Amino acid sequence: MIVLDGVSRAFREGEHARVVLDRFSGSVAGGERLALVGRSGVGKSTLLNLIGGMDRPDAGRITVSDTELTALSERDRTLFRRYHIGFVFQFFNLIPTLTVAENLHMPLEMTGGLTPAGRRRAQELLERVGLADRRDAFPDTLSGGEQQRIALARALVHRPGVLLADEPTGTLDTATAEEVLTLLDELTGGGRVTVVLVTHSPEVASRMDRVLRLGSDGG
Amino acid sequence: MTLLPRPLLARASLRYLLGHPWQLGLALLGVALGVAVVVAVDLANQSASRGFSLSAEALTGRATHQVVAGPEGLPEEWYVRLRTEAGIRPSAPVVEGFVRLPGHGDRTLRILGVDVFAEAGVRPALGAVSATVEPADLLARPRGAVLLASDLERLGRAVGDTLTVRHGGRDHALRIVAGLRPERELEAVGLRDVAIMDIAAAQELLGRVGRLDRVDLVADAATADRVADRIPDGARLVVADRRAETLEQMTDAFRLNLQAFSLLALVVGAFLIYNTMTFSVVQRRRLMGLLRATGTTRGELLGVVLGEAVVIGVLGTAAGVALGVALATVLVDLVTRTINDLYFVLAVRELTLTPGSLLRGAALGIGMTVVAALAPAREATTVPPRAALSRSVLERAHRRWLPGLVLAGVALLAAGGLLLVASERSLVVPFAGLFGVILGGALLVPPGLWLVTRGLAPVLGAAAGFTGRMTARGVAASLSRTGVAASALAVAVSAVIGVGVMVDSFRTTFAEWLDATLHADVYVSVAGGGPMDAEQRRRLLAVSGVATATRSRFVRVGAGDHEARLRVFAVPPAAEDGFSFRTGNPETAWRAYRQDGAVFVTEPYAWHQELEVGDRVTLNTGSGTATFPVAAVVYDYGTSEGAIIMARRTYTRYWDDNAVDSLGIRAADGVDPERLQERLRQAAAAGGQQLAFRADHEIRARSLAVFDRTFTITEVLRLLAILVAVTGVLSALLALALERAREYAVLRAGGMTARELGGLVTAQNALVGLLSGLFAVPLGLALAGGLIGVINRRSFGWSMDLAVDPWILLQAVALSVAAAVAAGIYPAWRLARTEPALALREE
Repeated sequence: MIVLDGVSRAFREGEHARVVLDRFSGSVAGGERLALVGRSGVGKSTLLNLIGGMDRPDAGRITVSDTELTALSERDRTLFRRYHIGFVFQFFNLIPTLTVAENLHMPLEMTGGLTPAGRRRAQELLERVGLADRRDAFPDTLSGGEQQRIALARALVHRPGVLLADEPTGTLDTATAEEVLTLLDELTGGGRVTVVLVTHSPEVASRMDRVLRLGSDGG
Repeated sequence: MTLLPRPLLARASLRYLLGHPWQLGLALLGVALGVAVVVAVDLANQSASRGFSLSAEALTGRATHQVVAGPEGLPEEWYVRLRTEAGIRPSAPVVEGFVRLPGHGDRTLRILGVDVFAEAGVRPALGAVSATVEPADLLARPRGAVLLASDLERLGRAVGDTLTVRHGGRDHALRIVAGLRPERELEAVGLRDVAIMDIAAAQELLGRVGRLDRVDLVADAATADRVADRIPDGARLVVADRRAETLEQMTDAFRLNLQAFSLLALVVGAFLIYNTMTFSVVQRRRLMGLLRATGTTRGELLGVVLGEAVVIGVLGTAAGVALGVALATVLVDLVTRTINDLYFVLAVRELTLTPGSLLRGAALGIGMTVVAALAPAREATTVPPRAALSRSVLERAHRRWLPGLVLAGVALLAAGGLLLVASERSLVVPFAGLFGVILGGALLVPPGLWLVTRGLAPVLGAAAGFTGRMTARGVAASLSRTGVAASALAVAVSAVIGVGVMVDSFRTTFAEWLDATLHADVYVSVAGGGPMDAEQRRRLLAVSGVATATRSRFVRVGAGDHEARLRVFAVPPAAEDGFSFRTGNPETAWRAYRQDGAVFVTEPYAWHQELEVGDRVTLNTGSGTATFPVAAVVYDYGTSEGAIIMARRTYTRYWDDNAVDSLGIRAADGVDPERLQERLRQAAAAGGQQLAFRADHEIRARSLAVFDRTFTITEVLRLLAILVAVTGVLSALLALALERAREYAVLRAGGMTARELGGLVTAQNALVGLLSGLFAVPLGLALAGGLIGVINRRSFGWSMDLAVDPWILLQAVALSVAAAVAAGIYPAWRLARTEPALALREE
């Protein structure tokens, strides 16, 4: 369950402050899959970063899985993120100096889950995303679609309660995007993971349980 | 193809530079420091050289020739006959010596005894003294002296005051009769620390009544020949300019060494420029691809990057020249001090701003910057239009260079090694060889770094999980960044090791030599210099508890085309162990020394004069020219000029000189040396001549202090090279951190805390530092080997054993790690503070 209560966030732009979110309130039920849509600059990614604890609101409260993020220190927010949240970015953002398997092991290692069971889960996920044969490859040798599939597996390998995805298919062609979305459905469907996904694509949005359109007034 | 960028391109380029103030600042600092060191060393050298030539010129005046006396001096009557009977004028007699100024620290004053009437034709500036000073005033008691008004000010004296000087163990009062204010710089600088006296007064003060040290002549070739025919035994006729030249040439090697060192700082600075420019190109590849797509030519892009290099080069060089001038004021003092310790008395108080030095520094700075920017500029032109090459593709391209780097590195190492041993006596060739070795080593660092970090990844991975693997792989994956930083650091650290080991080896050898040489318990010499009274000598030798005494006399004698230091010793057989032989059989050598009139030569003298055991040295003795067989070459680290060592018996046979300058006294068995020294002091107090008593350990401590002082300048230059390297590493690591900001932001998004990320970045930097330090060890030892085995030997004639103190190596590696970690503190701090959301948004 994610609850946002009167959340505001503004960014400094030169001498002026640009208000991106203004007293925004809303919630996402546990296991719900929400699509955030809206024009560029309305605060979709900002909202995602706030829910992920990567950014702090100027005002308001954010609660994720009964933890009030806005009451936590930066370090505690980071640790919360480590255990409870998975991220998928538009540009994949795999660690270029780690192999595919190692990228998947990273969240496990950080959460103390790199046990034989954890490794088995990573291997299963690799098989699920169809890239078990590339486990020892470095990310830069993979195609965009392959990288995003690995990124998805990495975001879920440590079983977070929440998956945040920022335009996960934004840079992919239609066929590849379809592959990634199918995988997303498979891995997060059935109420196992709460998903907040930012997208510009109505097709992508329509695959989620609910669509929230952010207006240019920041709410 | 034009290299001049179009105005808008230039503006974009300028804004880029200004938009990256840290990068720009570090690049400027790198150039500035490199140029500053080169300019400072050059200026200090030039100033010392100019100080010397002004002093030599002022003291020589118009003289074309000099008749230089041997230890016995020239008889005054000979000069009178030369002037009256042979009619050789202009000619001027000189008595010259150094005195101490009690109460003014260790300062010495040169006493120049002249006949002011004879001076007019030879040294008009001194001749002019007769116009302002009554000759009778110079001869009245206390004896009169004329000094520069500026010297009087510094001594806190005025005309009419008395000045106490010490010579020959006695204090003498001089009355100041005038303060000179010469108009020409020549005399204003050249007569510094000189007291002009009447010749008779100077003879009395210096204990040379009736004798002259030299006669200066203004003569053509025919007159010179006539003089040559009349030269008395022991004296010699020399061309005035050449005498000064020979003296100054002794310092050439020392100055060349300093110059080579300063160039090293510039080379390290060049790495920095290369790194900055490469980074700026890599960072703008997307932009450059875009520009190419919109019709910008390759030439124009090349122009943009080279233009940036010129801007950085010019600004950095301007700052470097200014910094260099400031630094030179410190260095000139150190250079002068070293010349005083190793060669001759020289007073240089101000910096001479020679345009040549400033221009050389500027040309080197700008030239080096542009050369260092050539490769990155070329890289910029290879960006294909609309390129969006990923970092990994770039790195792969860079890695393709690795085999080439290995080949070039090995070739340079081999060529450098060959050059090091190829020539026989040249100094420039082995220096070029050393630079080849350094550059070759530097080229091998990136391939080495790649191999080692790739090998280390599994090990670190097993030990510290994915952070360990990322630490090792991150270094390898960003080789185009880390490689240059590691090379620069390795070069600087290898210089630290090379010079450190060299100085330490030298110090160890020197200390061992002192231990072997200082065989007496008490050394007695005359306060202020000069020979010891015979009466005082007898008093000392009669003291009970004196077992043996080595009598020493130190003089300069003509030796063919040069003047040599001659050390005369009456060595008791028990004190023979005070000499360590480099070549020659001690047993036969000592016999030849004592009985057959053979001499020993010190190692530097043998090197400079190309002498071996069995050769002969020709000396102007008091009874004509004579040759002496060389029985042994002995180790000696007292002077780089070197000396000839002769038995007192041999000396007195050829020279009419019984003087003794110092005594080395050994205590009899069971006598406490300190007690003996006390008794010797009491005995000497009865005589009028003040003596200086020093125990062997005091001489040892003093000598080592002088040794350390001599190497202060080396330490300063070494520190500067490190400073340049740290700047380079800081710049490289900062560039790396900026480049990887996104990767690090992903880690933060994945739940890595700021502290953990800081730890990862620091670990990576420490790894770069550690590996650079380890690579620097063999390179530094090779450098030390070259410095000790070739450079030092050829520069100074000293041989020494390579002594590697592991502590020096450990310190250097620790320094390398510390430098890299320190340089990484800011980038790590900055990364840790960056909100991951912000870094991720900046695509």
